[in-house]
Amino acid sequence: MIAFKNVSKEYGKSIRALDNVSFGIERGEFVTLVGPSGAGKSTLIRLLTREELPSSGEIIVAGRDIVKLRPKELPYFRRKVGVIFQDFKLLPQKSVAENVAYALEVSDAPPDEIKRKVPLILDLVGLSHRMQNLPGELSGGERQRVSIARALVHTPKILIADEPTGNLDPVSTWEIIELLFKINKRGTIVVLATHDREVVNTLKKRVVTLKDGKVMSDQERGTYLL
Amino acid sequence: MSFLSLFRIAKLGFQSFIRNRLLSVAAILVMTTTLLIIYIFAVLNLGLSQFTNTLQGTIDLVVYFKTDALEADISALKQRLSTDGSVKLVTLVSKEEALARLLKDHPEQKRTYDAVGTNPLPPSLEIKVDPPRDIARVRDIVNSPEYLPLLSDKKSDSYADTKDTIDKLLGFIKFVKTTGIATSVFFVLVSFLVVFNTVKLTTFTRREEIEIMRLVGATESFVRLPFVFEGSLYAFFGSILATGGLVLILHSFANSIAGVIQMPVASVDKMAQLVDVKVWLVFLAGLGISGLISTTCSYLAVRRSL
Repeated sequence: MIAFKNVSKEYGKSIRALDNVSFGIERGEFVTLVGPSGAGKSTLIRLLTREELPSSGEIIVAGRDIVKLRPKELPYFRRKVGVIFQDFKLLPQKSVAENVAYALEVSDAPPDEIKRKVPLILDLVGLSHRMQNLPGELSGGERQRVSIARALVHTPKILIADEPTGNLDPVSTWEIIELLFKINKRGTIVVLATHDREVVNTLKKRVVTLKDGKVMSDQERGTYLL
Repeated sequence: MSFLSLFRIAKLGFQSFIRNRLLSVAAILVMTTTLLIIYIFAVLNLGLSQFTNTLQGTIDLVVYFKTDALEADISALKQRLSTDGSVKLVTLVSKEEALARLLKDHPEQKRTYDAVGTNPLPPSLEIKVDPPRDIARVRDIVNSPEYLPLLSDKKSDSYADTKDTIDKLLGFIKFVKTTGIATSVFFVLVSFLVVFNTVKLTTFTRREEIEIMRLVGATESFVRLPFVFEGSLYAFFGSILATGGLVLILHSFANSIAGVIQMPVASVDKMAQLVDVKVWLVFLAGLGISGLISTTCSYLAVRRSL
């Protein structure tokens, strides 16, 4: 489903964020990307969401090299890839339901589809009772769940989570990890970038460890090595 | 793009317009000033051109004869002029008629006339020439050796006065036109810069929302068009204010305007009436100009910053 083939990314002449990275992710997998700060995790994720282009190499998603996507095709590609971030990236002046609906509105979805999908997706993440609240009225864990709901609203094939528990307390962290598990069980690929040792060790899922821009190890049921 | 998308784009643009109300007001005020300046110079130019045409049409040529010139000789000249293609009307004003007109317009002159005892006014021919540029040629006919002995020794015609007045007016129109174009271009540039920077600032304040829009799969046109719509709102409100301002200025300051540009108040009133009748046209012209300015620079600002 996803394949990085000899991907390198350089910033200027002196910084090499990724160095000849190659690995693949199969349909339905849950993959954890780990590594210290500056290892290349965020760069890898920005390449996967096509926010940036690699200096060399191919990134294949669902049979297409996304490096070669034309600007016009990008929005449609991004609707197939859900992304969540450490800082949630929610619109503070919009309610929970409006934040989720917004993702559908900007994609030209008709009002009846929005009306039908938003309660369903908020129910999935356990926020049906918070629909009219503003993000500022929610806990960190709840905000991350809104962010997940928004990422899932296009029913993406891939969900990328960039340090989603970085700002959360331990209870909320496990709520989010459980939710990601639930989403993965429905068939969505989950790529989780984290440096939370406890999460990685408890998950016992595939772990790809990056260091200095290179894949240091790729374990099927891995642990935090660093 | 669907109607629904256009509606959502307009909604986003309007929301941003309200949210950044201070910036929006600044952009609208600059747009209003620019349009008002263009309007005022256009109306002045139009009014002065019309005034000149009226002047050219009404003054025409008046030929004065010696007081003892024979009416038969004057009639012969009148006959000759009537055959000229550019002469539309020739009216003979006899000594008696000239006096009657003078006393009608200036009754206080009656005492002077009574004291003199005789009618000192010369007979004259009022010649209406169209096109006005042929006045000089018609004057040459009058000044030909055949008719020269009939003409008054003092000032035989009104040509010098007419020419002087029209030349002065044409010079003033040229001045108004040049100043108008220069000032308008300057203000168009100012409004271009203000709208450009306003939209750039708006994109900066909304950068997080733009990032989210892209993240969730919004197309580039969906990201960019709300800003262009917002720019067109500056144009819309600017046009309304400028049109209202123009009507107000023409109605409230007709006397002052007439004084400054040395035109009769009636001509300024006429311009005000013309603007009243064509107010929609004035508004649409303003909307066209400001719409072009604001949408172009909004688009350029969005392209530069997004």
